[in-house]
Amino acid sequence: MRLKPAALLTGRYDWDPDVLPISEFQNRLAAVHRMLAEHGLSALIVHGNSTDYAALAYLTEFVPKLGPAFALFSPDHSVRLLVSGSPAMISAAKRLTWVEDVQPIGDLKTSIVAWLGESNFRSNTTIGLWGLGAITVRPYGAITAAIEPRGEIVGLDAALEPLRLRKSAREQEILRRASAILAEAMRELARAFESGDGMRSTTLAAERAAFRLGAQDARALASARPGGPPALPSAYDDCAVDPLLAYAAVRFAGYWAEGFLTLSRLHNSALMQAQAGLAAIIRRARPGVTFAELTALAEQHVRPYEMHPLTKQSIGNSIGLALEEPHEAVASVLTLRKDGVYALRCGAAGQGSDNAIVSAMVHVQESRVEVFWSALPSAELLTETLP
Amino acid sequence: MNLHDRIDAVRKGMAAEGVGLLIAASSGLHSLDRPDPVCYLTDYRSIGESLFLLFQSGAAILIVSPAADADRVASRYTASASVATDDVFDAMQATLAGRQAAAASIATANIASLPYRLAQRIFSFDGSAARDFDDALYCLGECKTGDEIEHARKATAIAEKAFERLLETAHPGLPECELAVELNCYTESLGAEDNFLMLSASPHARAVTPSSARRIERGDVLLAELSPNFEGQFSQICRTVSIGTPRRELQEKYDLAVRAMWAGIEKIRPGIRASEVCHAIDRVFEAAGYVEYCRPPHMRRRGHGLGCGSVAPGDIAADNHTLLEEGMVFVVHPNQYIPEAGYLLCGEPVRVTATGVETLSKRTAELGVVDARRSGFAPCA
Repeated sequence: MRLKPAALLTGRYDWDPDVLPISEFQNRLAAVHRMLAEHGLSALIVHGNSTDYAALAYLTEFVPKLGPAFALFSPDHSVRLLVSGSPAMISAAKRLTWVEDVQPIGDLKTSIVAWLGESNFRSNTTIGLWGLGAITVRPYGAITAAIEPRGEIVGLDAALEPLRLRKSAREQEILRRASAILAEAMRELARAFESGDGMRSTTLAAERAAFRLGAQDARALASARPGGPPALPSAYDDCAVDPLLAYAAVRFAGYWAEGFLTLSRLHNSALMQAQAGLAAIIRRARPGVTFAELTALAEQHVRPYEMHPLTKQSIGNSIGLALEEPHEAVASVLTLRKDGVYALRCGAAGQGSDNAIVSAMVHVQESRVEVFWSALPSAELLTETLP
Repeated sequence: MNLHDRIDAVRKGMAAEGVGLLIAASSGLHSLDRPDPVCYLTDYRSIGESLFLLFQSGAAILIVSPAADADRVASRYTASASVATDDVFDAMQATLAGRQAAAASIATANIASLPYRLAQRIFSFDGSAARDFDDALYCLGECKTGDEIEHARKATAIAEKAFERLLETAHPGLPECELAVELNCYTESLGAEDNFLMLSASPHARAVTPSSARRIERGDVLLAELSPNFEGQFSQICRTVSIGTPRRELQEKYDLAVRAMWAGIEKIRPGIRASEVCHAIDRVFEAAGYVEYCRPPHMRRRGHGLGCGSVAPGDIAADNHTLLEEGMVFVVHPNQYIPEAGYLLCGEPVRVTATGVETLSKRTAELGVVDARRSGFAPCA
């Protein structure tokens, strides 16, 4: 799900070496430098902003709050971070990263030209750029204006983003903790629903529960009409809705966990079919299984319902520093991979309000799946084939 | 002024400039102090990128992303046609296919805020050399609509309640970020859809910054820019709080900052320039001996417009000679570093009236004090 960007991130974003020690970043940087060498490159610029910072945070832990930021990786493996904000804000920015050389962007072109000069780049050098997806017109223009007189830029999103898909043991642990926070947020949301609270109150209850447990960010959405898709509540939306389709996403230590839940006081056939579909795809999830296979399997299980449009469009995706990480394509086929962490979802769409969506957070291992969280009412739905 | 009047004014401006089609863009990052032409023309805040196509002939369509926003846009935006999609450029092409579209006279607004690749596709659309309409767009009607002014009042009331909450809950030992999260949850419970909340504390600050995990300490000066957004309209109050009994210099210098703020506010009326408000504030600091502190890095600007939509009159700064008009809403904040006291915040949102100015806040800035012996508040409980 794509979430409305916050005007300013306010949670706990300071780098915590107990959660992600410097060795974790050293391992990531070593992998990136190997990739750069394979592409014949020696330097890299990584872009991030407050809505799309996954690549930048992967290498530096820095999450931009006030505007874009750029990490400059030199051939000698030194790192400089250029951040938005005034020079008086640098001490606050330094708390967010292990990188020691943190400077205000100032004029981006001038800052990059200065970096090129300090790093003794030869003419006709080629520099990689990661984070192209979200870079806006002016920063991109400044980077090209700085580099192209001396060399060229190569976009490396496709080459480097797969690095993020295989989660390290520490990342798995963070995602487990994020999922535990999600579980409590969903329990709170369900309690609010059972109490007869309206759309806005149920989502607020979920968000507060997540923050109480240490989430950096928490967003909850809920149906504005019975059986409607989860949506942002407006200031005036607080009527009780049944069935309620809810969505919550929580971020812990930079990593997201997300889930869909359907609540109803009445018998809900669509929900039962969606649960059956979700259980089936979780049981099937293994390295090498394609998303197309999972979609076909879910479609079988939700019959006679149609797949809900939100899940027909995307049965699942890798999740981590971004809510939706890019799929890994093997021979143009999108597949699950070993040690990937995925949000998998299944929805059933019937007539009128007879709709449901449920989901799960899973860790795909070689021969089993670890379920970090699921909206299934009972683990029995899964146990028949799980070892 | 209402949204219909605003659209009419823009269409007349398009006709005068020979523009047949305006393509206005929003990145979805709805900012406190940057203009957003899609919000300005539709009063709709998209989740992702959005485009508003306005034809001089009368038709219009709002294209929002992602596709999952379909239900929301259908229920909340009814002024013209709308579509929700994961690819706003494809939807734009489909909309314009087959239309004569005045292709020879396309203008754009705010395309530079979009991701570069999407912007490139729009710039290269139909091979036309689209004209930039950013400046002209806002000149055609810079004041807020009646709804926006009402929303600014509600946002201001939420900000003031949030400050009361801050005074009730801040205490030594509480991390800044936990206080900020608590205030955000609280403003959301009061109806705010967002909040640009800068909050930081230190014994002697050089600037206000986004919150960190640093724990508030006795003797700190806590700075807060409380900026809730109600139904798309931001407001802002700026406040300073002493953690424990304030030092004499802190109280004296804060009183100076408040005097400077009122000197600026009292200057406001239709027809004067934004720079004159800035000069009125500067003069108070200069008279107190702080001439060299009336420039960066000791201050940045003396206020600014409040989005979403138009952020007229822009920054309250010495180089902004925009004429103030009735209906403009902006914040006046001296926000000044003073060597004896550190960085100090005081600021009020104001509306330019037919004859002068109305302060939107009910209880204006004075130095807040938190009992340094207080403890034990659990955020988000």
